[in-house]
Amino acid sequence: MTQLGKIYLSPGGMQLIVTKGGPGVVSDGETALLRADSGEKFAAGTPAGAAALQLGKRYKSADGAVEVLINKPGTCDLRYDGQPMELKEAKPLPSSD
Amino acid sequence: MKRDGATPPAVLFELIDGGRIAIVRLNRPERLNAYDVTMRDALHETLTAVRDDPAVRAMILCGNGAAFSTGGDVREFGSAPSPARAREVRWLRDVWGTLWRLPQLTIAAVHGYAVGGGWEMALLCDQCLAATDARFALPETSLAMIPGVAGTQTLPRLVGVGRAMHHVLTGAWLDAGQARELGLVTRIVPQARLLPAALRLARRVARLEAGLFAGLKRVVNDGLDLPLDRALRLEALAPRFADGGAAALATSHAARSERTA
Repeated sequence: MTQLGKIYLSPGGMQLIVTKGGPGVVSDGETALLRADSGEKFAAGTPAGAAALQLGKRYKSADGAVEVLINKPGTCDLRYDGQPMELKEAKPLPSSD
Repeated sequence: MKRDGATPPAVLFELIDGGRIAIVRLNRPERLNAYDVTMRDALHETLTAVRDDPAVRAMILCGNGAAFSTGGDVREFGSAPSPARAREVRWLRDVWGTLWRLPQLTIAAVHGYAVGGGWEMALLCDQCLAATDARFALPETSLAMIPGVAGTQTLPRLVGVGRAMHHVLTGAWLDAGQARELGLVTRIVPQARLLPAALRLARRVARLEAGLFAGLKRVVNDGLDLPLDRALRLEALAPRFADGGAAALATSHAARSERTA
């Protein structure tokens, strides 16, 4: 389960907050992310994805139902239920001046 | 300034102190941090990220380069497709409402020019610290425009209608000392000490329970728009302590007892 408001950690040091939760699993490739409050740690040598995720960016699941906010940058092949999560980009809007 | 051919981000965002303090830096130094569409979108993304991160207790807003911000980029003035579309865009991407409603302490650390929308951004923050070289003005009226970053609403609330009107109508400049005399700036420091001073203030609040400051901010800001009797009721109904607040108070009392024993 990917729980709303909870912080998850990746083996590559990335950290995220869940802003829209869901029943599936958020992972770095094949490795499920760990909840920060679980006290668990990744085993030494756990592989980390290579994609650099930036602070303040948001990612969504393929169906848009689950969203996360990166609050510590790091590397991760971010997936939800095995499907790559997509960078959420704001709809382009013109100047209002 | 280009890095590896890429356009640098219009807003630089970092979290420090274990994620408790956000530093948001306007980053178009070659344009004195004039606010354009790119900066608008980057600032909106950053402010919503700060808003949605429960670990963040305080945010410092500052400018990279020679100025805090010179407000809207005049090269984009008149480029909105239509007045109706402009209004719609301001609703859809409400940067200034988002800044105003942030539950965290917001500190503007102003150096150099804070002009037009640049000054208005600082007025939307809870506290404003200024470097000795800070200069403030609202020149929009002389350009046949109405200030559009909430200055027509924030400035009268801070200094009264008469003084606010004077600045909106004349575009008169304020230096850091004059801004402090009007209560718009709480502290003036040399530029080299501006960020450290803002950090000290941020760290004082970062030690508090998140809910405590957010509640205090709501009571102060919402109360100002209410008649006094209703504002007093708002204060009376506000939770007295955030989670852990009672324990913190007990610890503080214990420490005081020990000192006086």
